[in-house]
Amino acid sequence: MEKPNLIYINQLARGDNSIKNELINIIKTEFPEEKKYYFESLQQNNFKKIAENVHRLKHKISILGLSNSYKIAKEFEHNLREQSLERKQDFEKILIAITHYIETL
Amino acid sequence: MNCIIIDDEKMARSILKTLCNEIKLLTVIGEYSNAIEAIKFLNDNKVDLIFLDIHMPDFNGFDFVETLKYKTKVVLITSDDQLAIKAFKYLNIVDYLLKPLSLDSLEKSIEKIKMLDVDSNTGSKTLEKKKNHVSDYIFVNINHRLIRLTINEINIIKSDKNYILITTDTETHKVNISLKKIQQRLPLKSFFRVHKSYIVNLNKIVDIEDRTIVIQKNVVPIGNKYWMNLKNRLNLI
Repeated sequence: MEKPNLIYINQLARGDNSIKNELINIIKTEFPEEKKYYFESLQQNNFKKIAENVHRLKHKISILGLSNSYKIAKEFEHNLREQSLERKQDFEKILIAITHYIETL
Repeated sequence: MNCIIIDDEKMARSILKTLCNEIKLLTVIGEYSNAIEAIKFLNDNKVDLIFLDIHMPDFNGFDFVETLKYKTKVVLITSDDQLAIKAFKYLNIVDYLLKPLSLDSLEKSIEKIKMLDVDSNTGSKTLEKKKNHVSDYIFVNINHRLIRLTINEINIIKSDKNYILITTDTETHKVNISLKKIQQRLPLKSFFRVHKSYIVNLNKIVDIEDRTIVIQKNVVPIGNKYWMNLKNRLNLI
């Protein structure tokens, strides 16, 4: 499985550590919240909300350079809009990988 | 150019602000995580440009655009690549950028807006033209940016493994789509498959010789199985 990375964030920051740290801090705050909302919407079986949460998480996935995972998230979001949970497990593996990675930042 | 950012994700707003800071012409004068706050601000302040996310909880970017009293220019910023056609039905939506954003895509977008401004200052009815000729364009996804191509400016389309190369008078774009799919999106009266790897714009053919077509300085082979059909399509005397 591909590994999250900071290539995109480094490109944005262009050597400015304050920008880099600000963006990393936002990910560290925002990602766990979005993940929590995702699991809450899953418990409520609210497909519309689940899709919205996956949509937001999808952006974090792309920011962390996970291009294959992004495709999985996109497919999952599409399936959710069709009331299907197909690719849920794959998507949740991505969330685990990002969670572990964020702990190292 | 004063602008505001509307996106429920703090990360998206911060990235956009970082990129806007790299562009001298842009000054970010506000950022909003929801539409209501933004509308309040817009009621009292004039802005030149709004960067707007489409999918946000409880409201949709298109609904927001419809509520705007003044037709401020809007650039949509989204992870959803399926709404470009809908977006360009709104006269004031001037561009559609896909997340994750890059400085390059933002700079190009601002260049495009500057060009629109020049046109409107010189009395051109660019936006009206855009409305009237929306079907004359196709949108292609190039490096996370949806580029609008004017159909009658396309000369040749060549397949290249999983990609196609679209050649216009001035440039060539590499797009991840099959030849068959792009053909379905082009007008049959102008575009014709002349080879398993080539589609040409019939209006651009300069001459045909020895089963090859010349368009500008490019030479396109005509496949055996396409030759008869092509002859039938051309106005041969």
